[in-house]
Amino acid sequence: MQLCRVLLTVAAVLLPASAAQALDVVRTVEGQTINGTLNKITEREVSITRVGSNEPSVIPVNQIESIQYEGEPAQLRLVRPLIANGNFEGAKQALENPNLDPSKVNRQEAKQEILFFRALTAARLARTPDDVKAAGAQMFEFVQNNPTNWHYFEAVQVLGDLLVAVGNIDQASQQYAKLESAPWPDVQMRGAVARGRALQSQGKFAEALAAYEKALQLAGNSNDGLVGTQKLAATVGKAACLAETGKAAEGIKLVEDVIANAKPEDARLHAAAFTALGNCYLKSNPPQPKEAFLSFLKVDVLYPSFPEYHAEALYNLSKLWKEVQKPERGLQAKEELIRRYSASPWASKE
Amino acid sequence: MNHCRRISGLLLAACCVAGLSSKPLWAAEPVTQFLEGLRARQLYDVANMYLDSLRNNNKLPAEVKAIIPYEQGRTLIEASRQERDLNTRLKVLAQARERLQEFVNKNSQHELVGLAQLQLGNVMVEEAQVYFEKSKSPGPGEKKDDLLKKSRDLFAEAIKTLDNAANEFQAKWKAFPNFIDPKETAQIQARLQAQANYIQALLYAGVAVQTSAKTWPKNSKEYKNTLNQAVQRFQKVVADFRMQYAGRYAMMLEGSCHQDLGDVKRALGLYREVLDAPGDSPLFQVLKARTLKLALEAYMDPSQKMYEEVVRRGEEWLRSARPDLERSPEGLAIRYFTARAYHEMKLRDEKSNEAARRNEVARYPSQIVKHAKEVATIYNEYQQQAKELLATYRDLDANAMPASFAEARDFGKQALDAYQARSQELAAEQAKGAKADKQKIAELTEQRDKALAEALRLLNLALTIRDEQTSIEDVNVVRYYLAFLYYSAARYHEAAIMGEFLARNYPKSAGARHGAKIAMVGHLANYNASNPENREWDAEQMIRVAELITKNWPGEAEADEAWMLLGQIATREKDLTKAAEYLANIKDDSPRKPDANIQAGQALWTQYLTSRSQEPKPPQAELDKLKKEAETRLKAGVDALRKRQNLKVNYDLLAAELSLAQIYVDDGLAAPALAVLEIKDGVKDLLKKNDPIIKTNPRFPTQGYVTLLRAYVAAQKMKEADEAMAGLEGLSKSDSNINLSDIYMQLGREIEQQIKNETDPQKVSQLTKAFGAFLNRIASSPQGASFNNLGWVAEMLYSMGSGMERPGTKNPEAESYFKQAKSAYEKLLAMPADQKPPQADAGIKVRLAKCMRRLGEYQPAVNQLIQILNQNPNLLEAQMEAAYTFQEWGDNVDPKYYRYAIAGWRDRSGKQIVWGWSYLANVVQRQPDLKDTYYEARFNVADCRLKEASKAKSNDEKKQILSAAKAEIALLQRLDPKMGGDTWYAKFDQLLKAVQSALREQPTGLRGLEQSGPQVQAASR
Repeated sequence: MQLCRVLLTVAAVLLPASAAQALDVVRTVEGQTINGTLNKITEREVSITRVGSNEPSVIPVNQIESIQYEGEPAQLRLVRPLIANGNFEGAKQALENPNLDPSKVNRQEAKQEILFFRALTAARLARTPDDVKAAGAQMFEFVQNNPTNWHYFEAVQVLGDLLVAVGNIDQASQQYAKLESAPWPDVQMRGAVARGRALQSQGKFAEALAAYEKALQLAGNSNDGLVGTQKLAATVGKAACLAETGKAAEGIKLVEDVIANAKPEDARLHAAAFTALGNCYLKSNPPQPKEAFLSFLKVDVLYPSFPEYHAEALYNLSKLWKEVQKPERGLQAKEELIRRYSASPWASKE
Repeated sequence: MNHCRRISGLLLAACCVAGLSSKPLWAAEPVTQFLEGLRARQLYDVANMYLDSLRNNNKLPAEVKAIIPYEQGRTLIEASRQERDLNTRLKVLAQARERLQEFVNKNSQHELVGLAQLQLGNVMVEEAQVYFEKSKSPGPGEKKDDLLKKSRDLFAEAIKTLDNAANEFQAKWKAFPNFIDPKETAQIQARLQAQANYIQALLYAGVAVQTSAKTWPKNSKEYKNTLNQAVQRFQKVVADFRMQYAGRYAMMLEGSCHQDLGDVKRALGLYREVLDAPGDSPLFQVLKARTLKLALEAYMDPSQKMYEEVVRRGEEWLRSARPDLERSPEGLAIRYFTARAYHEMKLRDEKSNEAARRNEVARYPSQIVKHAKEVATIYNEYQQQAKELLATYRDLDANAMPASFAEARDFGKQALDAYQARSQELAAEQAKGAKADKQKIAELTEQRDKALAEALRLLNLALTIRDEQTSIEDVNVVRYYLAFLYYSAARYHEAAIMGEFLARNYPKSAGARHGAKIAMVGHLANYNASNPENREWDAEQMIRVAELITKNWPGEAEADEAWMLLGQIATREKDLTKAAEYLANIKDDSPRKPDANIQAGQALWTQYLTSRSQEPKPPQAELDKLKKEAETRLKAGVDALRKRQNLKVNYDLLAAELSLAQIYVDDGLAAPALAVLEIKDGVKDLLKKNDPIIKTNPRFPTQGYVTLLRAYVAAQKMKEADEAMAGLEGLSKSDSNINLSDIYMQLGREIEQQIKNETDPQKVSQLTKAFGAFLNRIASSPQGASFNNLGWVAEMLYSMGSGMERPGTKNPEAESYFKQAKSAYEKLLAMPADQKPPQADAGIKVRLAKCMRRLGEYQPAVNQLIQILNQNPNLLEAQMEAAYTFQEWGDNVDPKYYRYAIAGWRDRSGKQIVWGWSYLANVVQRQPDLKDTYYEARFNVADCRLKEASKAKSNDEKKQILSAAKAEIALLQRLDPKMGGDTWYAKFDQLLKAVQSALREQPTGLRGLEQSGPQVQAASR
């Protein structure tokens, strides 16, 4: 078995970049795999002619999970699952492979994919202010140069998040507005939710609440699929704002419903929900510090790979550990916050 | 690596096989995952808090609530491993058993019931491990072999339980048909569950066998056989389920057995097979992480030292691991081993001749620091080792000089942790006594001191380089660390200043309370080190700190402890007023007030006992005050504690009750003393049960029985006194240091002294009766068989009789004592010669004669004395006793014997055997050291004459005798006008007056003789 594994590894290394597969492959969020030839890619849709068919299939970009390109470097196929798993450190290492040097990649879409992944991993791994700026520059370049790439809207959102991280809310809002002009409600909602978060981080709770309400209106009565997911995210944001505006009890109820209905695999949503729940408990009347402690601890234990929530959770835990008579753990939380997320506003907050 | 930890980790891991078919309860609340995460971080109390919150959560589905007892049981099992006290660990395991049993009883159809039953088996395995740990240092009353046997028996029972469970699960699994319609999902699920239960039972049983191996000496035949049995069990699982997850799991476990057997190569082969197996599911990733951890440990083994392999595999895994796995216990272990391997390579290669190699080595420190920092920041098994590794590299790297408050604080904290770790290791080594490794002690001492100095330097630096951004909370934590370190470095002033600063200015900060305590003990250390005349200032500081503590934390333990400390100091300084004032600061309703009273009471009692035996003794009033105060304090403390619900009797309470009883006994108050001693679960009860508490102080049992004995003697409860003596005898048999003879003699003296000091006649009578009975017991006990003891008993009985005698009256009680004394003297005489000092018989016979005289047995007494005087004519005591016997004979039977008293007795040959008072006086006249005896003899001559005269048949005879008496006295007065001193002057004076009165003369006494001078003398001729 060991021998076979070695051979496989060597083969992977020796595999020439072009000798991948002869077809493009589109995978949808619903698990469908479409093999064929891509005709056109825009920021809104992808057109592919399936094998054995003459008619192109047009797939909206928000339904696409991944695209594999004919002729792309084989190593690129190793990067996608790392990013999907949230292993950005691993993805960064994998992207350093010489075969993934964009200048050496022939297929334009694959090149763009590599550039996007590089910018994305840099953004997700940014901890220091310098990291954030550098990642922002990378993603800005991608957005500017690749407005018709199918990752466009995702890139715009990440760019907005990076702008929020450096405190540039106005420009972040401009980026989010691009999402709000997308043709699909779930992407529009994403923009509204992102804007809401940005405003929330500034303490502008009333405006943030309005943004979340807008997102909820866009969802209407739908609770399914991508819209359903964004609806939950908007609800979480709304709950956090309610807590800040003296309606913590209402916020608690909203978040609990989100948690009850969220898909288990939606880890980011859960991270957001428990963070919001923790804040609601802190703001409730009377405050419920032990419940808040448990909520933030869930983020730390279960969802540490979402820096924006993990940092906030660590900040709150640094103060709440004394509720369970372990102040030294509070110190450790503070240390970890500063060490991991020095760029985060939570790291310098009193 | 700690074998126990590794095996417990494997056992924990084994239960994750449940993941195969039993889906985690996620639905809404991620219960299982959160609990797993909390347990992995050893946050058991948080896990319990969480489970309690689930109980009260109405929104949770019933299926989630149903598993709460099961999860509590699992949490308690893991939490038990953190308990250092093994008895507490057993209690926690008992609670785990209760929860699991509760779950099994209430949810017999639940899919987790099988696992719960396996966990019950696991509880037994854990208990077995506890008994094994206990066998390494047995407690009082425990034996190593018994504990080891108990451990092995529990392991055997656990293995049997798990094997039975496995058979049961196998039968259930096999009962399903081979083919099930794919639409029958419920049945398929049930079959999968049954299979999973079966496999898990096999794995649990295998791990239990593997764990039980450690109860045998390493590399012994039994150790190897047991591990080989475990290997076989795991091999069977591998063979039956090779391609499944369970088979891989068993392969990993088999590898760990080989590793325990020292066959690292074989272990590594199995680990590699698991690591190389295809499969990337989340479950498999976890298994591979665990296997990699074991593999890296094996690679690090001294027989392998494959550090490059560790680095390669470790770095590779860390690059691709999911973030949550990276932070898992396995991920942190892998990171730690990677750092460790870099470190070992650096040590190995830094002096290499090859420049390339040295260059390679130069990049290692940054990798070590990078990895070690991650591990050091998160609570995990290797956190401490990672911190120590970091500390090592901070020294070597000049760039590692702290550039910020946070860095300086972190490095300082690491140095503090290193200091504490070295201190503990040093203490453990020193505790080995003669077997301690001196070199290791020297090394540890140096390391400890270095870490202490470094910690102080860095933390002080942190305070220096802090800026406005530094949070005050962080600064105060550093201040607290510094206070502690200053104290550790014996820099008590700095420690006190820092501690008090925190407490005074930031009372709500985390370290404020402890800082106040450090301030208190810092000042105390200074106080103790100062000369007595210079202590006032330190005492004032302590009072100030105590007041601060009371103000900031009123009614809290720290405040009370501070006042108790001051109270102790004042008591030691004999300032009872101040001591009382300090203790008054502890509120009466404070839970610590009883302890404060007991502490104060004990200090006062000790002081009393010490002062009482000093020379010169302090004034009695002062002693009485000490004793009274001691009694008041002890009684208040003891009464308050005894009223508590669910009181757990401890040594301090028992000791206080014993001291209180001793005070009562000392005051002759037998009833209150016994009320204290005989309380349920009190001194008497626990002595009888031989409770381990009484052995806290090796002298306690003896003191306990002595006090009981004394109290029973005083209360005249001789049956109970006998029991107490039996208790003492039992102790002396097992402890050769206990000398019963000394104890009884000491006890007797104390009672004797008590009788002498007693002024109440009724109490005197009671005490004397009881003492007499006690003395008789001794006389008839084996201890009474010795010459010294019996002699002392006889003396005591005689002296008690003498004490009770009243002249002119018969006292049956006194007679009784004389009879008992006589009996004791007769026993002494009857003792073989080799059991008594040579020529002791003469003295015994004299005493025997005295007893006879007191009993009116004059003839036998005189015969006895004549016998003695025939052999020892110059034995003065015998001569005097003979004269007194004749004198008393004359008093009580026939006045003719007065003549013998005066003139003595000759035998048939005319030899003067008994001298009589006259001759005796002549003999001792010229011996200055017998001056008193001379006057006694002269006095008795005159006295005998006076008494004889009173019984004369005629007046002439009477006058003649009286004149002779008067002449005797006058002659003596002429020879020595001072009459031998004031005492004898007064006696002769009184006697002369009696004679003169009997002669119907003016009773002018000796003055009259002095004034009348020669006329009287002439008339007397």
